[in-house]
Amino acid sequence: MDLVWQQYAKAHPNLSDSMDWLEAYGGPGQSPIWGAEDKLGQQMVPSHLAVQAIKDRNWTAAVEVLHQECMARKQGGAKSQWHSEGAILSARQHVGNVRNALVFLRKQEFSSHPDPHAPEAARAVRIWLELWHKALAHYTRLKQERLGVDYDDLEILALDLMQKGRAEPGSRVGRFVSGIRQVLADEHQDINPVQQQIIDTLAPIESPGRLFVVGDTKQSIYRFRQAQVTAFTELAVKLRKETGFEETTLASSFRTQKPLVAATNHLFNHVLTPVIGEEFASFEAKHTAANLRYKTLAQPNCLCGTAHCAKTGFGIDRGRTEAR
Amino acid sequence: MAQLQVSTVHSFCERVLRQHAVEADIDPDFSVLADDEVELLRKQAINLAFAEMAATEASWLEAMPRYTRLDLQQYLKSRIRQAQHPTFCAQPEMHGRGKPTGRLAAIG
Repeated sequence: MDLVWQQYAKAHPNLSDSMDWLEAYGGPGQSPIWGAEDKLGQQMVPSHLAVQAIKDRNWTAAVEVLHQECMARKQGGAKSQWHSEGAILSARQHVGNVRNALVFLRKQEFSSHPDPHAPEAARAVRIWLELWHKALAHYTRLKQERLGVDYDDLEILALDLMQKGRAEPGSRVGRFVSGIRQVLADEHQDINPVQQQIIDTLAPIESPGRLFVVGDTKQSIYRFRQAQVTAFTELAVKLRKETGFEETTLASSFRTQKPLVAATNHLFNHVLTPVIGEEFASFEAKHTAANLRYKTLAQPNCLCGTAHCAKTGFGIDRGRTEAR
Repeated sequence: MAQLQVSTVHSFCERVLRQHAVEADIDPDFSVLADDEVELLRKQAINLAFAEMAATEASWLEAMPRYTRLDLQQYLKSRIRQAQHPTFCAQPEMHGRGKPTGRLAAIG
């Protein structure tokens, strides 16, 4: 391994400079430049440790540095942290040289110490792949025999069709797609990315006045169908950025009570992570006739009782309460 | 004349595909499989794959000592889903866009 390393170092004359440069690195906070905490700065400590390991001829420890998440990035470097473009470029260069050397070492490590379990692992992978291809082929065949499509197929086939229509406006599909003037989407928090693409195709946000969406991130229930609540919040951010339109928050609930709403707000502030720069709006319960009647009848503070109460004759106007 | 059509995303997709079956390269008589039927078909497909595997390679399950038959069944089931649905590409372990597998024979 020593010999292999010497050959590599000889073939890469810049490497020793980079190693010296990184070895001189004394850790965060040692000098203004070394304090950088951006993506590039995060690679400094691992790179420094890797250089030390290489010098100790501890190849395994050196290669392990590559497993650190920050080392996977090739770019990075914020001017506010590094003070000048030149400092970023040279740091990037040095870190890059050492990273390349580590990648080379890793390859050597694998080839010089073959894993004794490799043949078994290879067999397991082959069996796994075979199983997978067989299962998928059978599933496709079983569907075809029934002329059946599942919900995923529906979405994907429809999306393909509509994108085709967008690309060829004169075709029959094209005329159908462009014939849809406005799209109003309800329960948008339960949208999945393919459905979002369908809506994007029908009502591109570049053409104003065609898309109207309503949703409540706190009511997302279709994760098992690939609903991604972030798709909804991201759409709001995108709409604001690209069209300048602000979304409207409907924060008042007319069909529940204050303690329940307070509990919901409290709970979701912990459960949901807001998109960067975005806050989840808190709900507010409005005092309504229905609420008053609940209070006078000393009912529990929960609207789950609405239907029940209506049945048992507490006189809650269910239609009116729910309509509001 | 302006019209308002109200439907779920899936029934909208279904209607559009039936109306443009030729362009979508799909049999217009296709049926939409219910969730429980899909579950059953996936299970059936996986069991067929297991049976075929056993016919060609006797000790195949022992080659994967960390998994039971049930583990594999569940894992394969979710993989079939992932292969079909390109949404999963957002997750780190999947690369490339999955191809829809439900494409049916073109009519005519």
